[in-house]
Amino acid sequence: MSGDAWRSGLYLSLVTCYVPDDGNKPTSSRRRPQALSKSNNPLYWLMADNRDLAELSFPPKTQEGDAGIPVFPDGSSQLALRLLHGRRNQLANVDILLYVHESVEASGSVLPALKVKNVLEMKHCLPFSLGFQGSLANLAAVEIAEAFFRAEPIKQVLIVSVDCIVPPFSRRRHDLFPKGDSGAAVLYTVDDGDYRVNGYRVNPYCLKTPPHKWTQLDCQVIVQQLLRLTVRLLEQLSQCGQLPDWLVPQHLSFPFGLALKQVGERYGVRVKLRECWGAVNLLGSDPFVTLVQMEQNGEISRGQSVLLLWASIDHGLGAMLLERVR
Amino acid sequence: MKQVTKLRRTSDKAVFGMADISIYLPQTWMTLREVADLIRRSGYPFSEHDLDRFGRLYGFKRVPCEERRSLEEMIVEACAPLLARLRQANKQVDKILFLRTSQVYWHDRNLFRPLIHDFGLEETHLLSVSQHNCASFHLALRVCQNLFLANPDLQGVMLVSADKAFHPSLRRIPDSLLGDCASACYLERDFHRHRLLHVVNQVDPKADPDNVEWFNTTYYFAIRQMLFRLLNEAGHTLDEISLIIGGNVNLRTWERMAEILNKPFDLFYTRTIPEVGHLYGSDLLYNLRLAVSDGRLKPGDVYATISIGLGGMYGCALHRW
Repeated sequence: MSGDAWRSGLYLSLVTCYVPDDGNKPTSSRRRPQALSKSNNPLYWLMADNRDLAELSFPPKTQEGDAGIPVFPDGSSQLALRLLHGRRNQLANVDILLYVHESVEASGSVLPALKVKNVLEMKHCLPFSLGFQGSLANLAAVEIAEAFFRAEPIKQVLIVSVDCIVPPFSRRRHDLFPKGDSGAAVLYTVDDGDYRVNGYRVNPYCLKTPPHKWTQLDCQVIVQQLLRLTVRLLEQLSQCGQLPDWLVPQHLSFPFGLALKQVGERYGVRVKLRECWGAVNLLGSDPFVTLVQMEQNGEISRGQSVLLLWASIDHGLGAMLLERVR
Repeated sequence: MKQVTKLRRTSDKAVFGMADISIYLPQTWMTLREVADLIRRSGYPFSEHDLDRFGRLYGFKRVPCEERRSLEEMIVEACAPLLARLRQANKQVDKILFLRTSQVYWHDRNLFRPLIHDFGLEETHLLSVSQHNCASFHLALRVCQNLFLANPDLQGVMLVSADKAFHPSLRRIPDSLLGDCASACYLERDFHRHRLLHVVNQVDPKADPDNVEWFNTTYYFAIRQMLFRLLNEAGHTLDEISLIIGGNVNLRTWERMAEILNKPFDLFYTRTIPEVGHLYGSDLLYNLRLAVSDGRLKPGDVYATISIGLGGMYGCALHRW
C-alpha cells in the first residue's frame, strides 16, 4: 500500500436509509415471503446445478429464527422501491443509477435497477447494477461513478445499496453476525453535498478455500486479516495526517468490533458500533445505516471526518474517508 | 481540495484497444430439437411451431451446454490461457471487469479465487456490471472507457463474461436459443488493434424484460436509432462501416436490419448463429475473433458491434481494427 494521501473530488449526501422490522416481530402487516415451489424457483435450480455446495440446502437445514434480524418479505427490488418511496422529485435529475447488491431475487427476469428507474420515472438516467463483489461493490460503485464524472458531462450519480436475503441462501455463517435486510441511497455530485469524499480505498483479499468449505478457524483467519488491513489503512492515514475522528465499520462479528475498538484507541480514533441492530450485518448499507443514526443522535458535527469501513469476508476491505461539510 | 477534472474526448480519440481474446466453449452440444425436448421434459413449453420458427427463421441448429464445470471453473478456462500469455508478455492486469447477463448467483463469493491465487492477482480490483441483460457487454465497454480516461495510470483491464443455463428452461428466451460460454479479453491502453472509437448504451423508456410485446414492437426501430446515433456522435457514416458484428440473438434480426438499413445482408456477421447459438454476453468476443480469422476485417477497417438486451436495453460501439 502506498503512502499517498487520500484524494477524491466527490461529494455525497445521504438520501435515505431503510431497515425493515425484526423478522419475528408480530405486526399487522407482517407477511412471510411467498414461497416458490422447487419446480419454479430459479434459486433452487441454481443449488441443484451446484451440488458441491454443501452449506446450502433448500429449505435451510434448521429454522434460523429471525429474532433481532431485519427481514423484508418482498424481495430486493421492492425493498429498493420502499427505500426510495416519495423521492421521485428529489431524484428527477439523476444521470446514473447504480444498484449495488450482494443478494438476489428469486427471479430470472427482474432487473431491480431498471425497475427503480421505471417506477420512479427517472427518465434521463442510465441504470445498471454492480454485484459479485460482496459488500465491496459499494466502493466499486464509487470508483465507477468518479470515472463517469471525469469522462462525461454528468452531474448526479445515485448509488442504491440494497440487500434482501431469501431462501435458500442462509443468513448465518459460523459465529459471524447474521445478515439483515436493508438499503441505503446515497447521492454523489462533484460540487456539493453533506460530506466531502476525501478518498476511498479497496484492499482485495480472499482465502484459497471457498467460504462454503470454511471451518470456524477459517472465519477467525479472515477476521484477523481484515483487522490487519484496517490497521494498515489507519497507519497510512496517520502518515498522511488524515486520521479520521470516527471509524464506522461494517458490523461483521463481536470479535471484529471489539478488536476495532482497541485499534481505534491506539490511534486515537473513536469507533462507532451501532446500538440498534448491533449484532446484525446489514451488508453494503451497513456503515451508512450507522452514519444516519450518528447524524440523528447529533454525534457527528461539521468539520469532523469519518472513515466508513466495509469488511467483506471473501473480497477484502474497503474504506471511504468523509468530511462533514454541511 | 481536488476538483474532478472533466476530460475532453473526441470521437476518434481511442484510449484503448483489444489486445487479446480467449474463449471457452463447452465440448458438449445439443441440437435445437434436443434442447426443445429437454425444456418440455422439465415442464416448460416449446411448441412445434416455435421449433420450426427457431430453426427456419432464426437459424438455430445447436448450442454448447456445460455439463461438468461450475461457472467459476468456466471462468478459469477462459481466463487462464489469457493470463498466461499476458504474464509471458509482462503485461499488467490492473482491473478485472466481470459482466454477467443473469443476476442469479452467489454475489458474496469470489468467482475469481483460483485465478487470483494462481496468477498473483491479489492486489487486482474486481468490478462487475450488469442488468442490461445481453447488452451488458457494451455497458462494460463504456465503463472501461471511462476508467481508462479517468485513470492515466491504468494500463490494462481484463474484461470477462460468463454465463451458464443452470436449468433447461433458461436455454430459451422468447426468440433466442442460448449456449453456455465464458470469454475474456484484454483491453490495453493505446493498443493499436480493435480500438474503441465510441460506445452508446440505450435503455428504452418502457424497457421491461417481462413486457416482450412492447419490446418486439420497438425492437428494430430502437436498433436503427441507436446505430445512427452512434455514427452521428462518432462522426462516421454507415457507408464507412466494413462490418457489423451483432449478438447472435437470431438470424431474422439481422436480415430485417439489412432491409431497414438498405444494406446487403453480408454486412452483418452472422455465420456463427447456427453453429453456437446465442452465447449471452460472450457473443461479440466470439464473433470478433472469428471475423478476423475469416478475413472479414482488414487493418484500418471501421466496424460496429451491437448487443441487444431482452426487454429494451441496447448497446453498440464503433471500433477500428
